Amino acid sequence: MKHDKLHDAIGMIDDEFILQTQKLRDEPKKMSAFIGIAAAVILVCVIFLGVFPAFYNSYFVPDEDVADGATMPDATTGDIKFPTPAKNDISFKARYAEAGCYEEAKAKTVCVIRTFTELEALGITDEYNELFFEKNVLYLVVTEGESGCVQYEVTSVSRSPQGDITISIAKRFPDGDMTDDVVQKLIFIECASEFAAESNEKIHLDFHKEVIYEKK
Amino acid sequence: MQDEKIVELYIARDQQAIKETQEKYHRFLLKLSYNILSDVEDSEESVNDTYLAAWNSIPPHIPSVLSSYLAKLTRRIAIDIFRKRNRGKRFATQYALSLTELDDCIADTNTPESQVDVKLLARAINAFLRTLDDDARNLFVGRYFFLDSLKKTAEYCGMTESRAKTLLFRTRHSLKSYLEKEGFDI
Repeated sequence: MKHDKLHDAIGMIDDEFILQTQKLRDEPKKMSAFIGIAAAVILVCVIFLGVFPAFYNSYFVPDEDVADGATMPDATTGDIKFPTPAKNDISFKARYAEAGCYEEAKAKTVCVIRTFTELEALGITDEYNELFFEKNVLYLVVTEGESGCVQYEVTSVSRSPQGDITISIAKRFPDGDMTDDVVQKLIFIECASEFAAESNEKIHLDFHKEVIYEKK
Repeated sequence: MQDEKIVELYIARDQQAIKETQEKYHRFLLKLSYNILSDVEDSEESVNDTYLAAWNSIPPHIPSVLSSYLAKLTRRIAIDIFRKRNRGKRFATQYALSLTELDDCIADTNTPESQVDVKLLARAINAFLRTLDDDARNLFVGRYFFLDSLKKTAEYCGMTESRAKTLLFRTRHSLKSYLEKEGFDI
């Protein structure tokens, strides 16, 4: 394959280039000017107006019970208190976020993340830490790119006797016109590590409901 | 322990060399391998194979920069595992995604006459990288050597993801033109 050759050749580049980039990778994260300004604006909203949390919860997160930040385990026991699940379901907590950009190859994919290293490799570490993964795992669902006003809600996570995990997700559309933007969303599903799927092939997505919500 | 000391342990055939390497570079190598394989067990296996490969190759080879030498070994081993494992399949690992991005940079001709000499190609890529400014070069190496995600690469290069995407696109096109000019079959 042509790109294989190219990758083999890139694997032989000079050490000086590798070292130079490695130095950058090892440095503490830089914050771009744009992100810095955006962060400052959001902070002002959060502190003084309380606008952003209200907007975030009502627009991106369809369920009031859903946490908008990672659930951090108890520092001494490492435990998380999950809501009581329905019969045969796994107890979980879900978080919803937007992907930075649209990647077709990742659309409608799901994977189980068992360690902090795996999460780090995906470039999504801000909300979790190693303590979380001592007793818990994450399921990460990447939705297909759709209008930014489409909402998702994880309604249940269940496990069959054969160990297959089914994640049921409701999709909600607004009652009016849809916005033109194309957004890919990330859904983080937190649960105890005993409910980790053996492999990604054992996880199934079920976008089972499509309902309309009233646009605010 | 300093890299020179670790290399000395390898030369002296002291097994402590592997322990020291593991202590200093395990996480770094595991991350690189995971970018290619997206599987913790396979990644662990490829990193362990890296230690063995380092043990078998030092000496006679004396690496001038141990970290890049190990990174190159891990990358090659992990890619070999990926190719064996995924023959005919495509998985959404950073490596698989980068393959698609690099698709247009070189021809897909498999006749013996048109086989591209990988070493010559590597030399051309090195020369090409020297023509780039720091931002473009770090972005290229981060994305296609370390196989970091676009988001992460943009982050440590200190730019937005969309700017990184544009810059990478331009760099790939420049590389294509450069390779054409150097006589590679595009």
